[in-house]
Amino acid sequence: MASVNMDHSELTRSRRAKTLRTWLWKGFVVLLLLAISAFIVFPVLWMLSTSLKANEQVMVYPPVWIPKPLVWANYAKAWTVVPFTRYTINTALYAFAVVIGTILSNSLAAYGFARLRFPGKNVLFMILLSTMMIPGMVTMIPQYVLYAKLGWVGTYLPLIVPSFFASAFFTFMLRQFFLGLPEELMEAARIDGANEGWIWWKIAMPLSKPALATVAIWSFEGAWNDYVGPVLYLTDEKLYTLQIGLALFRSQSDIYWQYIMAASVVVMIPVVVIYAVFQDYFVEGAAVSGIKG
Amino acid sequence: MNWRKFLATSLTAALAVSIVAGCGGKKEETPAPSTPTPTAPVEQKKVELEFWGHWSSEQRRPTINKIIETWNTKNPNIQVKYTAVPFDQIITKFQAGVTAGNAPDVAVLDAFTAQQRASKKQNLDLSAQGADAIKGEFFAAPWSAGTYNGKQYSLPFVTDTRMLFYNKAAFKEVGLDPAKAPVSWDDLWAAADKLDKKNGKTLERVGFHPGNDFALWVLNNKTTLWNADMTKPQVNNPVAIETLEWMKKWNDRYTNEAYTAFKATFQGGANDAFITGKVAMRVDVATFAAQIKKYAPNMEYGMVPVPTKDGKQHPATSWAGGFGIEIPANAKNPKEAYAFAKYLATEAAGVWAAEQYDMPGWQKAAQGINDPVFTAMMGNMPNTIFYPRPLAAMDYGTATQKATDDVFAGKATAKAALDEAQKAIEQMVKDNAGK
Repeated sequence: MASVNMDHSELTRSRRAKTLRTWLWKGFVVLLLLAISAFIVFPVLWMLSTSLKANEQVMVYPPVWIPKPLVWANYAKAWTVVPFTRYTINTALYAFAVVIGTILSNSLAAYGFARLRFPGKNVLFMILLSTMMIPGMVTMIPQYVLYAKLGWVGTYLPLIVPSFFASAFFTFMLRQFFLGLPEELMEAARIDGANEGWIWWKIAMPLSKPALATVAIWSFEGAWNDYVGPVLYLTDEKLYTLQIGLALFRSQSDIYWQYIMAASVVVMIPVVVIYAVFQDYFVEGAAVSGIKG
Repeated sequence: MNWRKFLATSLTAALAVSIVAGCGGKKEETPAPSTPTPTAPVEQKKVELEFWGHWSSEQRRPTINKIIETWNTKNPNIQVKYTAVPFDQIITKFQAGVTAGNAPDVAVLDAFTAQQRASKKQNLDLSAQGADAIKGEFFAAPWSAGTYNGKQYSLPFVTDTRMLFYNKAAFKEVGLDPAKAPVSWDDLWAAADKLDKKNGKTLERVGFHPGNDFALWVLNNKTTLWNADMTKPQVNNPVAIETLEWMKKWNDRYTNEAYTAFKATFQGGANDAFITGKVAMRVDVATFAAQIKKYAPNMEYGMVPVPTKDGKQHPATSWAGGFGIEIPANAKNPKEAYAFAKYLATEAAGVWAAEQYDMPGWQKAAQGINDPVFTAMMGNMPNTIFYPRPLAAMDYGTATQKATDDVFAGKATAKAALDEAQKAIEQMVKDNAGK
């Protein structure tokens, strides 16, 4: 009843109060988000700040946020003390090969599990999924021995070839995505005489770009950031990757934080760029297949 | 449909082929490692040795490169190639290599785990290569790090020893004689009475704190945490309890809260607590002198043997660690590898010590350096012991660390905490025996 009897000014006041409340709420949310992102950005800022510090300033307490002077030379130094150009090329080739292998093999396996009917399919799928439960540390040495017997240690083969044999996680993810594709499309192709390989390549794959992009990004990041694998299998410093390069700045007695951070900034750039460019795919792929990243 | 059968058959076939190929590879490869053995005696053959270390920085790399160039020039038939492997993974990589038969010919590895690798037959018995003949040329402590069941498995490269650093300027400031360094635990306490500076509850200068190296102060107090053959723990023996109570007394002196807060403000380097004068006396590795030289070249300080309870030095008042040179058990060229390892441990260690300010395991190398720090370090070596980690429980330190933390935090008495640690370590020994 009160609102009916409200005169004009009262109405405006109430409206104004409402807008004020909305604005206050919005302001609060923005502040909260800023606080959270500051928390998340903090290590990145520390990385940037440290990458520009002189050695004496790195561990000063209380911490200095804006180094004086700004030592840009750290970047040049970090890049030459360890041959990072070479390591960048190595890592890029390695990551690229892994992305190709992961996409091809996982989509093929996933298509089989999603769209074909054959005896023992579910059992096979369960066995595949169960491999996710085995911790990597357990299989590390036996795998190493296997690759050593094949004569692959010291080459990129142990790092790349396995990606051409589907893995449980990506197969599962793509299978979920393929299950959601309309069966009618494939049926139509079959009636027109297409075989399953053709349907996989010409129908399932093009329709699954968001999911494939997610697989590509994740496998790229996995390879780009992989450390233990390359350390274990590569024995020639010329073949080292960026992550090994970063680790070479640390030893028991001396840690060169300013170089580690300078190199880390550069190493991080491609990952950030890729994420920014493919962000939409990234979220969509995870949403559609029901996997929360 | 036909294609399904086709797919199933081809997949099965592919799987079968890959399995067979895998096995085939194995069969072919097995005789391969034994082939070089009959050809080994050929003298003219040029051998290439793979050498792993963890030095990669702009400070370390030039020295190791120089050491290898010198060797390669002198030994055209034994060419060495150095590979820097990240410090945190070098042991894993070495072990994987030994298991698979493709380890490097020579590697520099942490001395504390050398005996463990020997017990697992991962590194080569160097006594069989003649290592015992050069035993006397090395300091006893680092040499013993590589001895297992009377045989040598690792040659010392670099070692260290702990000493008491004290700030002479601070001594003068409070009226202590800078020429008279503390020799006993009581001396430390008395000196700290004068050196401590507090502002309310905040510590402005700490005279001395023994840190939390419990196992090592126990050695300094003339007992050990293990029986003689390192099979049975005795971490709750009366002397050990007394030692922990002594450490607790120091911690209480500054209170746990205030000391923890104080400690957190230092990160080493230019911001080190001793270098900035915030800690007046500290036990640290002798090569800490290099840090002082770098960050505070004008600092007035002294370095003396670690004080003991009764003020007398004995063979275990200080302790050593370091890095040793090892050859994998299944080395393809053990003779050549040993020749290089010996060069590294002796002549090369001298080059390394001079350029890197590191304590060499080879006595002559240390003697060759005319520097007061090296003189002090050498003087302290007879009081220095290498206390190995018992194979029965390599990680027992986690239990004694917990005891130390609990006692410092006032959660338990020294006796209760060490009784608990003893039980935990006995369990570790039992668990490991079952493996």
